Amino acid sequence: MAQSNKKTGWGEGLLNWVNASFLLVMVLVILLQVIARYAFNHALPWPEELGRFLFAWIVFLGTVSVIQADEMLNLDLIYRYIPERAAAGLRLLVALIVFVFLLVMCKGGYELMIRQASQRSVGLEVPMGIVYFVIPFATLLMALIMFFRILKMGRDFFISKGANPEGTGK
Amino acid sequence: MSPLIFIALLFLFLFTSIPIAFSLGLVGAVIAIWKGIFNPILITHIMYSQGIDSFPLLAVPFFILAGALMEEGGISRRLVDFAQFLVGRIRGGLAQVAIVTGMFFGGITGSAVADAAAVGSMLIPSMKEKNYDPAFASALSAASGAMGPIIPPSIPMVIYAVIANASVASLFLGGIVPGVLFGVSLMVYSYFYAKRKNLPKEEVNLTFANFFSVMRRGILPLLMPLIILGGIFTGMFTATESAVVAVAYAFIVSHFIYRQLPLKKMPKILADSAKATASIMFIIGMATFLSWVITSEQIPQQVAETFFRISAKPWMIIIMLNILMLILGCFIDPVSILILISPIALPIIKQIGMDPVHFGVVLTVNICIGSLTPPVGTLLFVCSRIGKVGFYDISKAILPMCLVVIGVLFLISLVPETVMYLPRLFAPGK
Repeated sequence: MAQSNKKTGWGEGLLNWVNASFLLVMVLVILLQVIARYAFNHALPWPEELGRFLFAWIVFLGTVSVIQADEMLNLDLIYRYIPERAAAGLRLLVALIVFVFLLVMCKGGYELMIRQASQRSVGLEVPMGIVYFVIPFATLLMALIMFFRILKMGRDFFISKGANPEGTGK
Repeated sequence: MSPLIFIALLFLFLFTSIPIAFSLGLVGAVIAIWKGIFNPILITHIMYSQGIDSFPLLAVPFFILAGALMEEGGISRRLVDFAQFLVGRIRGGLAQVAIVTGMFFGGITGSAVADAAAVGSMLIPSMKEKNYDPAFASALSAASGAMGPIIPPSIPMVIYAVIANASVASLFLGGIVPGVLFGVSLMVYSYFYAKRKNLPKEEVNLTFANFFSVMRRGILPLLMPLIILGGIFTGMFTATESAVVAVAYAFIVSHFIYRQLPLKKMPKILADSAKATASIMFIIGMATFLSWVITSEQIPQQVAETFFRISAKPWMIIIMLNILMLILGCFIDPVSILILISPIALPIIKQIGMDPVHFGVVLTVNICIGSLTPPVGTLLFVCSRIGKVGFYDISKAILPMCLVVIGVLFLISLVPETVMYLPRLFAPGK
């Protein structure tokens, strides 16, 4: 959980709030289930399902935060052995690959959402399309973040020509 | 497609610094395209329905959050004091204290990184002050942190339980003896190291009165693992429910009793825990996709055949599996190994008659050692940063410790009783 010292923008702030409240609700809902089962001897049908849905949202939206903070776990050994110009080029290439992969995921998420849109969940009876919406939505956000990062890296790489390693290395 | 091409591809992606999650996804996608079964919906569908949409996995964010809340409540100091009382008077006392604190934390966090960071930030500065070699101090903190997931509660064990359909309770119980052995082996190593370097003992006020005061201060956090384990074993809670009860307990202790957790800190703790959850779970989702692809391509069967061609002796197979995982552990993060190896290893261990619980604990210990081995050792990164030691120096200092704990790994691999005694004792139904 390394924290970047950058000032958090409103987008990040909003995302953090959403993630924090989802996690809080998840805790409360499952606690409620435990209490309902023991105090009232009555297992509720929906808390488990709501917990699972919130969990999925946290995973995808949380990953947007991780990408935004550039804290994706990777192996950066190679940068110790290649010249800076090559390193900048490699970073650009990696960012492009991640970007394309995210777009493919976004498409897959969209198709999944459409396919399941009419189905309703068992407990809460919400349309599953709402649950699945997070996948195309979050991957699109991630792709956008990568897109702007690529623009910036590309500009530094092709225009300034100089050694200007992007803030990706850690 | 041969398993070798799959491994070569994975390493190619990893070494070109593509994030681990995407490396896993890309290998899956490339194999799927090659076989003509690729479809974008495949990635998201497998990732969601098999990797993420699982009630037992909700325990992951809960254990992360419970640990974070406890730590915010200032338990580090209390646990260190308690450990100091117990082992401070041994030669190289601070090293012993670090290890015992790591074991205590292991019972609270379930995450190795949190454990190592807590031990490191508390004890590396004190050790440096007493002229311990900074590289040794940092490496030892990393190794103490590695015990976190072995001693219950444990996030990797929760994930394994889902994949292997094994009992979390049995896995948690099975982790206790190996966790203690792990700690004791480090203590023995540190003792001889301290003797050679003539490191100081710590002053400890060994009176009854002091014992009670230290005990009183440290008892509440140390009760948490008992609540978790007790709840699961008596069948009162599922693992997920016990994790959420642990969150409530940690909040009550830190906020109401210790009064060190103002509510205004909560949004940040919650957001950080959500983010930590996401970085684990996104990798899990991708690894699940890859695992689905390699399973549908029958790669596990091919690997199993290769294994049995080399030797059919169970102990040889177990050693080979361990070595394979240790090698992977040098390059990939623990959770990915867990998800990739399980489908490959489970049919093999079934064939040699190894209990899935036994294997789950061995796997957990193995990947914890993996987080200590360079070049990619998450805990080494964490502790070299805290101790301000170069990566080369900490890698050199961790080497003998790794050898010691690998010895423990082989012991628990080959002597099933070390793992299975407690689960059999407490869970006769299994």
